[in-house]
Amino acid sequence: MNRSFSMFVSLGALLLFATASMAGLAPGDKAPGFTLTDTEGAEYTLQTFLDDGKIVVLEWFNPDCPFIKKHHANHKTMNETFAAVKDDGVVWLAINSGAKGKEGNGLERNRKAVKEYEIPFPVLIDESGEVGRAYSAKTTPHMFIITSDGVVAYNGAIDDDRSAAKLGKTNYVATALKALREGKKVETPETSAYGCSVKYSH
Amino acid sequence: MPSTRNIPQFTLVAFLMGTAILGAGCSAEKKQPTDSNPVVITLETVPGNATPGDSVTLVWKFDLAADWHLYWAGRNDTGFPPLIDLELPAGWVAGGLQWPVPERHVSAGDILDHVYFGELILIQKIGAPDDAILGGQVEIKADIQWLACKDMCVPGRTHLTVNIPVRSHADNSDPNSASRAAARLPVPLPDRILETRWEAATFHIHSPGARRLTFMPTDDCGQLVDLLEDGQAERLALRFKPKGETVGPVRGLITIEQESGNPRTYRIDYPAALHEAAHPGG
Repeated sequence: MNRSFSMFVSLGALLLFATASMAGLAPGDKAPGFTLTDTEGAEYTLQTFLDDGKIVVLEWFNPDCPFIKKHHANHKTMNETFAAVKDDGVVWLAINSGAKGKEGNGLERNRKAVKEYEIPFPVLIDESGEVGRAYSAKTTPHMFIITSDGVVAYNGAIDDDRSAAKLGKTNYVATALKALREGKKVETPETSAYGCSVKYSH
Repeated sequence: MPSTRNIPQFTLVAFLMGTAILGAGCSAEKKQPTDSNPVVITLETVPGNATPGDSVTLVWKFDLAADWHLYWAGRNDTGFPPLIDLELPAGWVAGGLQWPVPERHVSAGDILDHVYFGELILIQKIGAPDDAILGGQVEIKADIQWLACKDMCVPGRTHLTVNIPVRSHADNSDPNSASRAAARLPVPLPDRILETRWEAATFHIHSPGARRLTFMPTDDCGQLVDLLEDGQAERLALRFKPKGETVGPVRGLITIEQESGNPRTYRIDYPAALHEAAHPGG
């Protein structure tokens, strides 16, 4: 049998420029500061981590989005990417900017997701969407890497396969973190995030 | 009992989410999409049989439950378009999917997508080899994936095996959905409808008499600064991010709405321009 790919959109190949509007934070921009509370009531302030010299990874999160399930349930992309760097000055924060009543919103649902997905980092609740809007976070997941000097080093997708099932060949976040830890330039500082829309209120 | 003379047989092999059903005119009862099963896929062929050395058109119809949408295969902030991966016998050739004009859809959080509500019909040509065996059947396997969204997103995937009879003459069947699909395709841009010019990294588009223009970029379009802001207006000023010494190309669809008459959508393709050589008014 011939296998015809002529009608099969090559999701990976199109990823770099597939986003409709790239407006928002660009690599090199100052990362907006925030203080948010996690599912257990603990408060987290971005600046505190930066003052400690940490690199901070932000992951926009919605436990019921198929793309979050892809990377947290079907595969352990986020946990494994974090595990590789957690002892090396990297902090990982998931942020749920879904509004009240929207899919994946609510303390209980997110608390349950932390257990269900065995998430080893905090899931912060941003119900007003204020932090999500400040970052122009559009999808779940939408990934940002912030260097210890408070600058955006990466904005985009976790990897290069936009489907809800398959993993990509390149994990952009892992690649960028490796470069930063080695003091090198991030070769791909901006890609198109993919996933479900962040469920903002308006 | 309905005639099956012109009706190819479709065999549902498996489905995970969504529903795939038999083709046009078959006696199969058509299912309706619902919130719990928001996509129903139907496959028809035009004509109902293949002919050696000629082409047959596959008509993929995605019926959507109310308020659910599927994605266009162009630039979007979220989601992904339906994917159809075919396995064909040796000598048979598949053409690309032909996508109808989508809707510009802005959701909370300034998220911009180009989508389809209600139904999406994709058409696709399959070329038969000259030595296709008369009286036999060609088996085509399809792996279909999609993402349907409303206030949540649901991925779906189904595998279909299609058996199309090979005969010496094509029947004259013309399913209504194929005609509807053809009517919704974007068309080539006629001469002198648009006035365009580069001004530094901004591409200006004007259509005399138009009250609104909408630009929907394909994935091979140059990188835009802010399509949400720039993509819909009476006159467009599309800001591009330079790539090296060039800006653009400008590729995609443009919908022109006049004061009267139906909107028309055209394919546009303007080559990349030298950024440093682009002069105001040039």
